[in-house]
Amino acid sequence: MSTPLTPSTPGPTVLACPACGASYETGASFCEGCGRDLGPAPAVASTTPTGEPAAEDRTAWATADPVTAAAGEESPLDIGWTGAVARPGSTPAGSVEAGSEGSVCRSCGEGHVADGYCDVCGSKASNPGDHYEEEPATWVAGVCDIGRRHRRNEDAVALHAEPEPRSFAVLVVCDGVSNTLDSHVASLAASRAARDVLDDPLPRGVGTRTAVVSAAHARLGQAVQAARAAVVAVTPASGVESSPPSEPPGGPPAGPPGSPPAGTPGSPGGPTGPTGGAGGGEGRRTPVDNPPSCTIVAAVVSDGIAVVGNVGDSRAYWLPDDPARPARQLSLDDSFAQEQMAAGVPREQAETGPGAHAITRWLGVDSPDDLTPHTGDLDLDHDGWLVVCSDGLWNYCSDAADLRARVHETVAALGVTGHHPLSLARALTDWANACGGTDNISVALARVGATSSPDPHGPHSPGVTDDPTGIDDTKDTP
Amino acid sequence: MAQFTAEVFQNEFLPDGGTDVHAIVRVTCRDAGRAGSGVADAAEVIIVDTSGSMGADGIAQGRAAATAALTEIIDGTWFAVIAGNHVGTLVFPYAVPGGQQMVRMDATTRAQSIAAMAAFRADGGTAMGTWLTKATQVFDSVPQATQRHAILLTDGANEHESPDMLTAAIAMAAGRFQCDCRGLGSRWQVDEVRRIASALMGTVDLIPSAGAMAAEFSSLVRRSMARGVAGVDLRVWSPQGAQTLFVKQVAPTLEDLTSRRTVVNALTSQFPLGAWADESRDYHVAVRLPAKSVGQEQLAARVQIALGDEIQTQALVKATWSNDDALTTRIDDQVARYTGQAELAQVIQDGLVAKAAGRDDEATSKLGRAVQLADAAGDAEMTSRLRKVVEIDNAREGTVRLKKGADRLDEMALDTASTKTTRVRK
Repeated sequence: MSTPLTPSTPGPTVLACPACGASYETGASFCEGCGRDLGPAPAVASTTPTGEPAAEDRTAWATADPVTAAAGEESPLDIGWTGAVARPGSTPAGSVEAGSEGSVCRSCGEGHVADGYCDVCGSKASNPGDHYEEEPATWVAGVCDIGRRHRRNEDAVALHAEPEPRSFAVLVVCDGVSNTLDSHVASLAASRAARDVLDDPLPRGVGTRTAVVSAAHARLGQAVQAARAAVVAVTPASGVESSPPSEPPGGPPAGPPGSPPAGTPGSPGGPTGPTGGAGGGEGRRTPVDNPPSCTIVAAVVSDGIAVVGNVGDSRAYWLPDDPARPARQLSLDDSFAQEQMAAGVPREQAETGPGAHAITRWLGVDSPDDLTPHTGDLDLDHDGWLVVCSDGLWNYCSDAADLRARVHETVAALGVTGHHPLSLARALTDWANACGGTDNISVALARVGATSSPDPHGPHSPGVTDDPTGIDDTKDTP
Repeated sequence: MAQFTAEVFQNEFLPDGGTDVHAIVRVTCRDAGRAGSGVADAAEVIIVDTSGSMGADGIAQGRAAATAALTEIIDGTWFAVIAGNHVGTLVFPYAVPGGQQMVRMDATTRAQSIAAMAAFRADGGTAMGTWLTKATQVFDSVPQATQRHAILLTDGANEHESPDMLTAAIAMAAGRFQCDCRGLGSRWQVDEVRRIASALMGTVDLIPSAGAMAAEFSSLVRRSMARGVAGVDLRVWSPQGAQTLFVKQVAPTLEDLTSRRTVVNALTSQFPLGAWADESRDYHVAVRLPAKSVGQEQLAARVQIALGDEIQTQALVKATWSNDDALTTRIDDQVARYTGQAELAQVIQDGLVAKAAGRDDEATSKLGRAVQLADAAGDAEMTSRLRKVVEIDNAREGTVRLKKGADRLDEMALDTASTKTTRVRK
């Protein structure tokens, strides 16, 4: 049952990118928003015997929900932006437009962007996703940076925090697996999906520490499943893998590939009925050899207790200020190196040997069946730093004691802003870049103890951090 | 309406501290139409050498060649015929000074112009500057004809005016019309005529015998008549602080355009390309940038095709600094091939100049290098041309001996062929 295009339909058929929802016209090869490969132009794939374009061809891609978030609060997936998460409390606010055609060049400040480059100095218009920062509260901040060697930032950071220190915070870092397709889209989607599961306050239960920790464990398990579902949702459909192996519990409502495409507002004159429904996932593209995938590490701070969970090799550390107390790695890598270390190989040898960065579990269409996160917990009853990071940082100081030494040295070097989380996260990112920046770098920090004010002459707006009403704990996709 | 497209061949990766970006930009024109079919009227001037050295036979063949050319000129095209010896004389049309010195082609004017050439006599010397000056006046008498092309035939050296006078006449003519030049026999100077052709955006070639002239002339005019787009410009934008090292046409012939540069704005230069048929030409653009740090990417040049102030197409030349040697040490095939061909042309021309001046050691070394380059590029045609001028002992090593009593026509053929390039197909 197809409904032909009405004669009044203006111009080419407008479809919506399945990954980010940005509209595009038939024939486009890549999404203008997120860069996703849109595959062969649906309109030329087949025609009905009457010569009318087959209905499914026009709607097969139109499975993403329309953008509903208020301006300025869109999900980066909605607006096709591969980087910063534009919530209140993140900086730079309103930078969505940076780098777009005609905007002022951020390199020389003189020219304007044309064809993706400055028309005076020639600098490439910066992708806002290449470096972004979040500071949801004075005690929690994170930096995500492309590093020096990679051409795309496949890391993602998603944070949430209540103004009161140690009360409640969520820190999520995902690291896209770099030999897979679209892993920058995957990591961003995963980090946000996980954060949006975790940022509801934990149920109080009987209020004991055990109850809090077990509630957090359960929530972390749900968050990992939600993150995986988000990765699956942005995975290009293939004739072979037309539906996910199982519907993860607690997943977001994003439609997995292969589900019947509903007639959406994005497809004028869209069809209803079995013809449209049968079209999803058929003959659209060849099987995907390297589906997008990513790691995840998440830390939940609730009433002075930190609980972390991870899949893959992104990490969480606890680094107490007091040198007498031990620095600890709270996460456990799913990596070949970790397996070797478990077998007795020294850390340095295991982490620099062949296959050191091969991970044994990940989030994706092809992830292992068991995605139960490794978990760890800790009472935040002494001053220190909770660090959640990707291997772009820990490559240069893997051991917890080494990382603490690095952090203490950096805090001392920063002077009066040493205990300002965002300043420290930036400094650690700069340090990783100075070490070579061979991978994308994510550093998210929660400060336990006194915090410093940001440098009043610093590059970011202090108003964002000083205004607790700027915190928004509502979800974008309820 | 003509459609231009541009594509870039380059290795955008520069090593740490690297500054020079090289790119080949291939510009292709489609649907050019025919001369005069666009907004501009077309004009064609035939300049035939009638100096004493031509002799009665040469004059007869020159007349036949000009007749063949006139036959190919499309009706409606403005045209004129100039006879050249130590002065340039307008043979047709019969015009009063101050009036229009060209007429539109039709059956009547074609017959009249062919009849007028009966007056050709082999007499006098050779002063090509005067021919160019006359042609400039003739073209300028019809301002509405802006697509202007001339064919110049000569058989001797420019002996009856000073080199400075020729230089001045070339400078006057440059930008006013395009001129393809042909030399008959072995008494003309390739470098002298190349100077004219190069400045007037035309080609230079050798016609070994008078009998081959008619075919060459009609093909030249056919090609000119197929050029439906006049006044095409190449624009090169490079970023602030960058320096455009050179802009060369590298196919179908080598032509350094750098000296034709005019300024559009502080960052953009313009180079005239003349009229286009349905064809494609390759340009080698080299830009020197201030080095940036590893990982950074920037635009090194925007290469555009402009008609007047309208940009028809553009290609982006990029630079990305990397410390991955596998990326930065690769030289793009097209860039490498054309760089080799440019060097080949240069060593051939230098070698022939040295040989003519009796500097045999230098000539041997330059032509030896040419043999080596042609061999490495697998350019069999150029190798066989070189073989007529030098004895090749070892092509790979470039060891050669100068051939005693090499035919001057062979040397000239090698010289004129040196700037013709062969395309690299992927």
